[in-house]
Amino acid sequence: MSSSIGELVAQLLAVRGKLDAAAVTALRAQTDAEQALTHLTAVRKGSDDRLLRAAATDAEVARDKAGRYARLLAVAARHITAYVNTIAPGAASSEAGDATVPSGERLVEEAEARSRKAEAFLRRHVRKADDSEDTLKQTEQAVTTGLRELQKSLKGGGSSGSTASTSTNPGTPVDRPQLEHPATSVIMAAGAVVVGLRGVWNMVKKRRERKRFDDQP
Amino acid sequence: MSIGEVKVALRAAIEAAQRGEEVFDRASAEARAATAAADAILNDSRDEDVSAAHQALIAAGAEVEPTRRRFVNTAKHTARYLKQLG
Repeated sequence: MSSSIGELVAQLLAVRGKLDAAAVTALRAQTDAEQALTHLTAVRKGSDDRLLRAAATDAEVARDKAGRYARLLAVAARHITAYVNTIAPGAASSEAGDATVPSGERLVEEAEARSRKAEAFLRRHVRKADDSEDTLKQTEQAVTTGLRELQKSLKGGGSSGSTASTSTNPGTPVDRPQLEHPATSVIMAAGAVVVGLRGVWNMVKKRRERKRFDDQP
Repeated sequence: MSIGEVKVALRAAIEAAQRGEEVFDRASAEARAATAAADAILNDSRDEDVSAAHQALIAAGAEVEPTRRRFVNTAKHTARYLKQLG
C-alpha cells in the first residue's frame, strides 16, 4: 500500500475520475450506434436484405453493449468512491458537493431518465394521434408539434451536456432528406440512448393494443 | 425513399458506426489505463468495495472486444450492402 493515506486517496480519486470520464465517452459511442441504427431502420422500411438486417442487429448490439460498458465503469467508480470514504471518511463526496463534475454513474442515470421522459412523451403523442386516425404520418405530425415542449423540458435537465455529443457530424450533407424521424434527433440530442425510437414505438403500440399503460413488459 | 436517399442514409450509418468505433476505442483506452492504475494501487486490499470495483472492471474488460466488433461489423455490413446497390 502507498506511503500515506493522503497519497492513496489522491491516487484513487484520480482513478475514479478517469473511470467516470471513460464511462461518459462510452455513452457517446452508444449515441453513435443509435444514430447508425436509426439510419439503417429507415432504409429497412424499403428492403429486407440480409446484409441490412445483419447491420441493424450489429448496431443494436453495439448500442446495448456500449451502454453496459458505461454502466460497469460507473459502478466501478462508485465502489472506489465508497472505498475512499472507508479509509478516509468524507474524503470523496459522492455527489452533493461535486455538482461541477458529475459522476459517470449520474450521467448514465440521467441518460436513462431522459430516455424515460422521451418515452412518456412519445407515448402520449402516439395515443393522441391514434384517437383520431391511426396513420404514422399523423402521429409524426403530432410528435413534431409537441417537440418544443419536450425540448424545453429536457433542456432543464441540468446535465453537463457531455452525453449530448451528437452534434459532431462531419460529412453529413446539410440538405439531407428527412431520413430521421423528427423525434429521433431530439431524443439523441438529449442523450437518451438507452431506448431506440423504434423500440419505443413498437412498445407503445403493443401496450396500447393491450390497453395497459402502467407496467413495463 | 429514392435510391439516392437510401445511399445517403447508408453512408450516414457507416459514418456513425465508424465514429462510434473510434469513440469507443478512446473509452476503452481510458478505462484500461484507469484499471491498470487501480490494480497497482489496490492489489493487497480485501475490502468489499475494492473487490466489487475489480469485478465490475473485469466484466467491463470482457465487453470491449465484442462491443468493438459490433461497431466494426455495422460499418462493414452496411458498406457491403451499399456496394451491392452499385
